[in-house]
Amino acid sequence: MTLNNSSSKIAKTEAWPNNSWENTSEPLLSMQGIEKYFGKAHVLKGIDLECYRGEVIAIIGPSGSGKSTLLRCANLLEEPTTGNVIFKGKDITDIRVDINKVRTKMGIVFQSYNLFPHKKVFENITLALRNVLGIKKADALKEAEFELKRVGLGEKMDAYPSQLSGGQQQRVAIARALAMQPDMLLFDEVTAALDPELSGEVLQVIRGLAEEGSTMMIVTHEMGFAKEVASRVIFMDDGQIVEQGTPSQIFDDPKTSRLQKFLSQVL
Amino acid sequence: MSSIEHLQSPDAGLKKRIPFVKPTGESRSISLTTLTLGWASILIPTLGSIVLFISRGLDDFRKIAASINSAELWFIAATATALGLVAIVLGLATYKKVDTKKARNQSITGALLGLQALVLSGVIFAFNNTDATRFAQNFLNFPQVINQLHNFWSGAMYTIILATASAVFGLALGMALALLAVSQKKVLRAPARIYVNVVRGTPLLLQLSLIYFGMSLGLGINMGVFPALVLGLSLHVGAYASETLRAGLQSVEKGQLEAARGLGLTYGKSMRLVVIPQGFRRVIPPLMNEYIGLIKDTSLVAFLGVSLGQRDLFSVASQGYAQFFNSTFYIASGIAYLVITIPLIMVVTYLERRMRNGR
Repeated sequence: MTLNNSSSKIAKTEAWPNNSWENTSEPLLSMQGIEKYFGKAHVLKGIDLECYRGEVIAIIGPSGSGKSTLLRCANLLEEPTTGNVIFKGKDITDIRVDINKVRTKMGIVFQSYNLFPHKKVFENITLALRNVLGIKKADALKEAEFELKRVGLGEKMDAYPSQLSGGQQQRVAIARALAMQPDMLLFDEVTAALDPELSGEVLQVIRGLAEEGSTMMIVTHEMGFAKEVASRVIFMDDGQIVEQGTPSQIFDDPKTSRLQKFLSQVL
Repeated sequence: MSSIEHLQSPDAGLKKRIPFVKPTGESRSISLTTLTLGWASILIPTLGSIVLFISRGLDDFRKIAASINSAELWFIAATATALGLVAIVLGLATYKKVDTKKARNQSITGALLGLQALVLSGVIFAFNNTDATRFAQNFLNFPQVINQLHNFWSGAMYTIILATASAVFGLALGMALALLAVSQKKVLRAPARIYVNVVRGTPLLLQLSLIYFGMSLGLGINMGVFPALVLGLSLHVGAYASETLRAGLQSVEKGQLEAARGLGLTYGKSMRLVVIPQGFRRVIPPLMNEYIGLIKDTSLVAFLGVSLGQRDLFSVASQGYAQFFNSTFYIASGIAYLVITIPLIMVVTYLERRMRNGR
C-alpha cells in the first residue's frame, strides 16, 4: 500500500530517489542533529527524527516551537544550519544532490494552499508533471483527473483557484502533491486557515491517505486529529523534541511537565 | 435660537437666509434646475464657441482673430457667467435642504459645473478683450500646417516605430535586469543595481548623445541613425522597466515560489512558469505608462540634429516652425501626440480599474 496505486503511466526508474523502499528496515527519512538559526534566533536546537515507510507522524507544540521549520528542513525549503537529512539512504544536504529530484518524492502542502492563481485547477496539477517529470499532456491530464476525484473534486478541473472555497483549494493542493507519486507527504498546518467545517473535509482526505498507508509528517494544531490518525506523536517546544510516543502515550499519559502544561492549555 | 428650537427645525438657519427655498422634498425640483443650469453654463460656451469659430471659418488666422474679438463671443461668455452664477447660488442654497442623496448630488454637481463655467468664461473674456490677431497668427494659423500634414503623418509613424522598437528591446533588457535584481546572490544583484542607478541618474539626452555621437566618433561604429536611437532608448527604458518588473516580481507571494520549488521545479522554471506570469500581469499598467513616457521621450531625438533621415513628430513641428515662424506647428504636434497617447492612457485607466476590482 503506497501512494503509487494510481492510474498514472509515470515511468518508474529504479535510480535514486525513485527506487522502491518497500522491503527495508531503514528509515525513509532520517534527520540527524538538525540545528537552525535565523540570524541570531536559535530555532531548532538539535533535532533527531526518523520516519519509516507507512508512519504517520504528528508534530504538535506551541507556536514558535519550530514545528514548521523542522518540516521545511525535511525537503530543504529551509536549509538546516547544521545536521544531515537522509532520504532513502542518501544525505540530501550534500550540495551535489539534485534537491529537485528529492522534492518530487517528498510532497509538501502549506497552510496558505499556495495554489497558482493564474492556472486552472488541472493546470496546477499538471504543471509539475509536465515540466518536472516530463509526462505527456494527455497522461498528465488523466493523472490530474484521477487525483482530483480522489480528493472529491473531480468536477472542478476547469475552475480557477479563486472560484473555490478554502477547503477545496487545500484539497487541490493535496491532489497536486499526490500527483507526483511521492514517497511521503509533509503537511504544514494545512487546516490552520480554515473554519471547522472546511477543515473537516481536508482532514477527511488526510485520514483517507493514512488508511491507505501513506507516509506522512503532519504539523498540526488539531489535537483530536493527531490522536486519531497519527501512529506517532512528537511534542516540540523551544526548538527541541521534548517527548514522543504513541498517541495514547502522549495524550493520555504525558511524562514531562511541559507537555502536561501544553495539553492542559489546548485540550 | 435656543438649542431646542434648533432640534425641532434643523433648516431654520438656512431658511431665514434664503427664504425662497423651502426645505426637504419641495426643493428637489430646484436641485434638478441647478444641475440643468450647471450643464447649460458649461455647454453653451464650449459648443457655442465651436459653432462660432467654424461658421466664421478656420482657414485664415484673421477670421479666427475676428471670431475671438467678436461681440458674439462676449455674449456667449456673459451668458455662461450668468448661468454659472445662478447655478452656484441655487446649488449652495439647496444642497443641505433636499431630502434625497440624488437631489443633493444634483445640487452639488450643478454648482461645481457653474464654478467651472466661471473659470472658462474668465479665460474667454481675457482673450475677447485683447487684440487676438497676433495670437491667432502664431498659434492658430492652420493653412501652412495643413500643407505639411503628410509630414506629420510620417513623423507620427516614425515616433511610434521608434518607441515600439525601443520598448520591445527595453522590456527584454528590463526583464533580464529584474531577474538579476531579485537574485539571492549579491554578485548578481550588484551589476543590475549599478546599471539601473547610472541610467536613472543621468539625463536621457546625454545618454542619447553619447551613444549617437560616441558610437561613430569614439568607437568608429557607424550603425546608422535609427539603430543608434533604438539602442539608446532601449538602454534607457530598460533600466526603468527593470525597476517596475522587479516590483512586480517581488509582489508575488513568497509561497508561490515555495510551492513551485516544493514540487521539484528548478528555480528557473519556477520563475518562468509561476512567478513571472503573475508578477508581469500586475505591472502591465505601469509598464504601459512607461511606454507612453517613451513615446514622448522620442521627441529628444530632435535635439540630436538627426534631420538626414526620417523625422519624428516633434522634429516635424520644430522644422515647420523654423521654416515659417508659425507656432501652430507645435500645437499640431501636441494634438498628434495626444491622439497617440490618450487611447493608451484610457487603456491603462481601464486596466487599473479592472485590477482594483479584482481581475
